[in-house]
Amino acid sequence: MNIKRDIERIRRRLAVTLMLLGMIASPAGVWARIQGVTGVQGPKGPVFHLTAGSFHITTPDGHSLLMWGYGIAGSKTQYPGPTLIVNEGDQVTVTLTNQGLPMPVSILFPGQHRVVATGGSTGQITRESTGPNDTVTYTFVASHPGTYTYYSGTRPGLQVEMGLVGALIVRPKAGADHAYNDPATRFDREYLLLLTEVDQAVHTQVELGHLDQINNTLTHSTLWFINGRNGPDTLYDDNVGWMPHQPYGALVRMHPGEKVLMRVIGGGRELHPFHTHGNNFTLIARDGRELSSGPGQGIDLAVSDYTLQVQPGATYDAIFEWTGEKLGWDIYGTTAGGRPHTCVDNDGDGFDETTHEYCPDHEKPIPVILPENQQLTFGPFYSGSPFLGVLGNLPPGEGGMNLYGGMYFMWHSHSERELTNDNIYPGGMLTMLIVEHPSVPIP
Amino acid sequence: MGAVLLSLGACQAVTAADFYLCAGKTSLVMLDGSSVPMWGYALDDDNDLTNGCGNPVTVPGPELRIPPGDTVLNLHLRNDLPVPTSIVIPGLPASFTPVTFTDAKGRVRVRSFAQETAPGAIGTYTWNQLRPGTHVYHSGTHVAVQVQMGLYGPVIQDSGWQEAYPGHRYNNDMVLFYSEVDPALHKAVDSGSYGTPPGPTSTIGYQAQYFLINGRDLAVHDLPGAVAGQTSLIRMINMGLENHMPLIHDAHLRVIAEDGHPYPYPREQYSVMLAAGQTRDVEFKPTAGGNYAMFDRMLNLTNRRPIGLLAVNAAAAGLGDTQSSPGSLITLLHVDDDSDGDGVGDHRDNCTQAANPSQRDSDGDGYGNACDADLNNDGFTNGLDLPLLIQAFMRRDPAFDFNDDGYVNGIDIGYLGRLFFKSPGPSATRP
Repeated sequence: MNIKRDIERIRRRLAVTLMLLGMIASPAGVWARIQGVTGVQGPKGPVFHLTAGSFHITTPDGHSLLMWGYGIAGSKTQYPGPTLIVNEGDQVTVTLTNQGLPMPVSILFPGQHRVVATGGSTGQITRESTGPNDTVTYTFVASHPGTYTYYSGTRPGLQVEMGLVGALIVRPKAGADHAYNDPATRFDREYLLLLTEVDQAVHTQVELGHLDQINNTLTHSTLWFINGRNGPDTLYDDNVGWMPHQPYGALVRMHPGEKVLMRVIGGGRELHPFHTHGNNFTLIARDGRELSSGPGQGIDLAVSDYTLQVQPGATYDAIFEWTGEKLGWDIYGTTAGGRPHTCVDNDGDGFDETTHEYCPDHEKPIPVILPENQQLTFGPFYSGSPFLGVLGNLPPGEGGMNLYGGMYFMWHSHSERELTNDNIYPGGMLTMLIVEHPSVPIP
Repeated sequence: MGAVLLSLGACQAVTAADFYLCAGKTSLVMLDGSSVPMWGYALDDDNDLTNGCGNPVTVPGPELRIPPGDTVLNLHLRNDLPVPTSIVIPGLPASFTPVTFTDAKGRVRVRSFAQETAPGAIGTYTWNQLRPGTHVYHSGTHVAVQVQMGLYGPVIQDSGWQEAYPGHRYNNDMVLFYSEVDPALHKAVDSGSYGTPPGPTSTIGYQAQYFLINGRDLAVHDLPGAVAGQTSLIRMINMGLENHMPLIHDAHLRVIAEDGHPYPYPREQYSVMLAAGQTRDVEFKPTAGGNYAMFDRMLNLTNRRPIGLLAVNAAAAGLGDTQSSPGSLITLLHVDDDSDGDGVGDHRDNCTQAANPSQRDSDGDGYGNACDADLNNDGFTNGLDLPLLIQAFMRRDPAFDFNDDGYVNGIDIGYLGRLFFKSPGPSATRP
């Protein structure tokens, strides 16, 4: 018992140290960016040299899938394609070279107006690249901030399924910590949630070279992805070595009181109801346009919701906040429970200035009798304590995934069928939100 | 149609719009060459249904336009199908009598939302609480089967002239009508084998194999009519059993209404969710001419894969997607430039470089008056034309009134001066 108490004491000290470190490392105004590419600076604006090629990915159920994807020239092709990040007003140039796909390939930029395609070869919807020596160039002015998508305009029914889809982010003049120029769209962190699905049969037929055997009217998805990964791979960091063509993780982390911008994209061909546990989100934009009743009216038509109907090809911006407000108990524990702390609300907003605790609930005990460990079944994300930033006692071998005593909430497709990897649960279109103690550094 | 003109001519006195339709059989030849039986509607050519309709049956059925202000709609239906049928319009109130039957287990079940018209008979369906909007009419009998056979069509009423809803004016409008076909189901229903094993006994196995826009599975659907700087109203309708997602490239749209109900505020989007059975009204105001590609982002862009000989035929025919299934089902919205900004697109403007919204062309030579001072039609504007203009001076003669201000005056002499020694035009309508 003494050893346990010592460990607990060390953990508490560590937490305090981390809190101090965190306050040093996270001054106001620092925000987490989505991983993406900003291109090389050309004479007129950013230039992105993209290739399209094929590669394999391994899904958590053990399948190996042939994918087609975009990549930055000289780097790996990937699923989804690289997230292109530009600034409002930029003249953007994107070149595309087909590196070995057995048919032409192209890019469409829905939501960008007057995209000019030059070079390459004539296609049905836009100009295309037919091979390594046939480069097509697209230029447009990113005239309006927002979240957008891009995908192939060549046989899109097949090529989007194969993975030729990505995200485009246009940062507003108001600054990179704003989604749009309206002050109400400022955020502390942002995350990309690009939703797709795969019908393995199509990928098998493409790999076997049976392109003329594919029947588009019979597609039947069996794998569901966020940012090109199936759960639980979604929880891993960006750029982990064992998923070389799936660089983008989807784990969402935040501190209480922060504004998290969700940039959600319907990348596939199906509808996905994306559900946030923990709290409602506020939908502020659709298809790169603020939800507004008119110019100068701000985001007055923003709506609060907990399930976003993500439609294929459409994009959404939503602000998610979590504070513990009105839970009715103190998220940091009580003095009587051995967790003394203060709640100081200087500005009258109801929250502590540092921990963002909801002061009206300060010192209110959690309204349940916490069961003994013997009565519990454990999951890897349980810290052993219901209180934020606290690591409680766990039986040997239990827990272990929750390093900082955070609160875990699942964000997932509410079509439960999509929480599987080829019929194996859990997996598919799911990730986690971790609300971390304010002292925990979040990159 | 006669009744429509009647009510247009005397809309204060007559407020009912009457349309005469026949429900009947037809067939569609798909891109892969196969023929699929369809049921649809035809518009009568003489408002006398006793002698048939005279016009071919189409899918979707004819576009019915109720004049603004009319308060009553009468649809007269002749049933040339082998089974009873009826017509309903979702969203418009009506007093209809459902038809029931008793099934093998003794249960009373509804077969039809509205009173049926028997095969060979003529029935009338009346709506007396009309509301402006983009609506659909479709069969109200054995809906799961008859609607997907093709018994649907647009019925449209504006709130005013070129005004879809109060405050929503448009310059031109077009219908984008999505539907699908499961050929196996069509064959079973058309042949009467549906409902009796081994034929299908329900639509649970429905599998759309062809995707139609405005009733066709064309590789590219051309949708002309839009002009740069003007507002086109696209009336989107989905009468398939699946959802579709029209998505336009190079532009945003303003979604103004759903199921015939205007939104409090337009929604600016480039993608439009079109659920099965739904209508949406969308404003498209392109800033520049060109082709704007729109396609179903649910990627129902190719028909079923042709099998056997059909595959060979499809490839030989050079169809858009020869490596796979025929069809690409892309809609190209052709937007005409408007160089002179008069609201008439360059490809049909009789003066492409001179603004003339009226398009007046008094001598009928294909050059509008605004760019045609060649009054004696000798090919050039010259000294011979001036006396002709002076003869008409200060008269109200539109033939010499180049700028359409009501009088032949000094301004028109100025026109003649600017055009002096030049040929008339340029014009896009010069025959």
